Amino acid sequence: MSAALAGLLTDPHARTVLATTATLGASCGLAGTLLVLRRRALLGDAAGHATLPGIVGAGALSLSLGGTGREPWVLVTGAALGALAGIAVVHGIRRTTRLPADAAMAIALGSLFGLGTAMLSALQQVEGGHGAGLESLVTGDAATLVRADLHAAAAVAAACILLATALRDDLRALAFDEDFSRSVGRPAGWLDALVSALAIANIVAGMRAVGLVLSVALLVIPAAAARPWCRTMGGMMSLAAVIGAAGAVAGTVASAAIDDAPTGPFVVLACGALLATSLAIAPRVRVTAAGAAA
Amino acid sequence: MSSAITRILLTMAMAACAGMAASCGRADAADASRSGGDARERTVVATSTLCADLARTVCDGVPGTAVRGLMPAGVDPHLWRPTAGGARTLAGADVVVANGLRLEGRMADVLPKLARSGCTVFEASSAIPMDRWRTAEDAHGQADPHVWMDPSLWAQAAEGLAACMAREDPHHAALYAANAAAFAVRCERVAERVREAIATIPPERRLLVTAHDAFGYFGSAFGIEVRGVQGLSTESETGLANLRALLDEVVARGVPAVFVETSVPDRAVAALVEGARARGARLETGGTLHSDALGAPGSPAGDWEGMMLENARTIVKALGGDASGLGGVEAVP
Amino acid sequence: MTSCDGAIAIAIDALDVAYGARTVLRGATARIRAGTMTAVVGPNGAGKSTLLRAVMGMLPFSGSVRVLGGSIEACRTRVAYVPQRAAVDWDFPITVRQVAEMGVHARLGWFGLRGRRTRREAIEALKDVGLADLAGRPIGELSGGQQQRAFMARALAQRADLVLLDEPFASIDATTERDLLALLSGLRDRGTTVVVVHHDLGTVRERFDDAVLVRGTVVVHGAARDVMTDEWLARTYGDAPRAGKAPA
Repeated sequence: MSAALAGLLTDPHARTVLATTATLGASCGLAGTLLVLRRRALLGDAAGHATLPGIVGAGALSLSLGGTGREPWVLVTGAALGALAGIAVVHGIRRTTRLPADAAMAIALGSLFGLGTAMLSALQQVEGGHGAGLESLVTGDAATLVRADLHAAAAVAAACILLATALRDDLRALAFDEDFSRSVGRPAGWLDALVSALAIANIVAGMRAVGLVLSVALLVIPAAAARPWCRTMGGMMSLAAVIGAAGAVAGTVASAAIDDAPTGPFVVLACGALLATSLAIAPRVRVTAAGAAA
Repeated sequence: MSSAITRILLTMAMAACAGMAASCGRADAADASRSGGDARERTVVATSTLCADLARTVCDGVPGTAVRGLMPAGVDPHLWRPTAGGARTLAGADVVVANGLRLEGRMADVLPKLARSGCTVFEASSAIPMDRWRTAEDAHGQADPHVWMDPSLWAQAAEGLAACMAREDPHHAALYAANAAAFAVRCERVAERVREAIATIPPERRLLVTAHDAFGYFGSAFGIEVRGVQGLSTESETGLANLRALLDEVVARGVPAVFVETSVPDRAVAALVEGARARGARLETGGTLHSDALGAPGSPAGDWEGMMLENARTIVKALGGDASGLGGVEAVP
Repeated sequence: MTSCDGAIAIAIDALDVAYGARTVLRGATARIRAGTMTAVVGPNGAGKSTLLRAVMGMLPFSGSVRVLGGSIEACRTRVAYVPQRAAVDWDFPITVRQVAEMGVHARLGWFGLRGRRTRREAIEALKDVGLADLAGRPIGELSGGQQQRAFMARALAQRADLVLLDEPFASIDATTERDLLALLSGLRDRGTTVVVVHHDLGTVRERFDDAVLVRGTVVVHGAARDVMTDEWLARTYGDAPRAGKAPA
């Protein structure tokens, strides 16, 4: 394994792929902790799937205006708008019906992803076949990551670290006790929007590497793996970042050794293996001690 | 107030989706009705643009036969899924011309169903003897479907289609055969010209690297090694190990140019170029090739012959050979 | 410290609260004097918790609620609220000290690098409630009574002008209850207004200045010695016992 890693580190292209997936893994681990502790993991999944109609719509718009339909900033904007639309749909359903939260998220996820798939199919009928390029964003294409992708991932990671550190106490209070946070006048809506924005940024940055379907896995799995070992949110964010990065490195190295291995799914599998190991060997977390002697 | 807005937006979104689906179907249906007027008229529906070109060649000048292609120019046949309208067109066809060998990857169950329902399904690859099929080493037994890249094989496909059409329409059998024979002559000429041009490439540079493994038959027909970043099909993700191995080879052999394809996104090739340059090698994108799809009708690569020559021109020029024999005004580098 | 509006900390007029079709409070009117320790008593389901939550603006109501002379929105940082049982995720990775620190942040602000001061003040608050040696423990590892005390420490750390506590002694033994009542009395002596939903009517008579009796509305409010009489308690509790604990 170490020989394989050394081989990867001497090759500039492989270094770029490795650095990008590792950065994404760390960033997703950190932002994912906030998402998980705020109990919004399903919302992250809905937002991730909702990026598809946004991407395809933006690509189609670009094509109709004479562009290539694959400009990076077009796709990023489309993905972000799609994710926002997904979250808006969930909130809209919750406010106008009495459906529980998970039903609302499932509806948003399914219908928007279905819409995106239909739009993608329609786009593929159009001359130019550019639909093919957008399909790779659904499942990821990590082997073809380039330096521009690394820069984007680094920017997102930096933003996550900065914001999560600066607003750590506010976010912790909100996630732990929303009633208290509101009662002392904290802007819960804005803070939640920030957590969603960080999650969406990571989903968009991770699309090229692991695809939008698996991106929520990379957000949630490292955080879940870190949970049993940490007694504070700060510790959990840091450990989740480490686990995400480690899984990314392991998955990338493994995919580099096996022909035809898809890097994105291998990264997620490696993180999953770390989660399984963590849960197996971690000390059992005492759920609550309510009822025990004071 | 905002709940009302949300409801309006949701309704608009659903309406847009439904409208899109309906319009796809409507367009195909309108076209199909055009060709289905005369009761004696024979509808030939081809899947890929290359199959459509083959069908038009074989059916050229035959009265009462209408050829329709399903896929527009530039569409990747590995990933293409027919819409409801496309499926209706197929169902209304008398003869369906497909490539086979899983080129039309997402139509794997549609074609056998059509055959069972009484439609004549002709697969170009089945007109070619199996011993001429190429199997890629790492493709686990899957045969290479890109048979049109070898003129002699494509000529055999034309003959096979002519025989199939003759069974359908014995009245015009002679015409079909004549078309196929004329096409075979053109194939031979194309093969000669391309072979000569490829031979002018310096031997150490005779390595053709493209986005996916579409040029296997081209390589064996014209004496040039071929590599694809992705495998036989564009469906699967690029493997990091495959990309790295290719990168090693390209850098070691000092290949000057690699090629993108019209129907495949250029990410893989772009990554290859950046990776090679990061190692200090000089590598560029040598041009765009037509691999799985013809160009727009009327453009230089709008038919098979034009495509082959255009591809050869691009390859030979970029790898340092003499493309003057391929038509067009080329300067010797 | 008095509020802006004379000596009244909380003024409620014609307060109506309904959960869907069920009316919980109707026409509630009360005055809670600043700088007092006031008890809110009544049978189960009388609307005591609802009253506190309405004061905190945590649910919709009709009628008028003025807190410290104005609306609750204007003085949120000056009011501390300790719910009956916090609706939190007890598995959340947070330590007892960090819970208390939330109170400090509410007062000092949520940004900035006051790490050491925040920690110190949080430990002080924990000492007041007797939890200083459990400061580093995850909140989920504490007993119910200890968890209640942790949230009380958070409220203390806020150094609010008005503190509302909903059944704070529910899972706490008598000795600790006495100590905490002394603590709250100390707050009252320093000018804080303390409002406690409490079930032990005997303690209310002994230790509280004022009382508000609630049963679907405010039955009566005023000085404890005036309103904690058999007659008023009969009207509030129906046929429940007087002195001692209220029925379960």
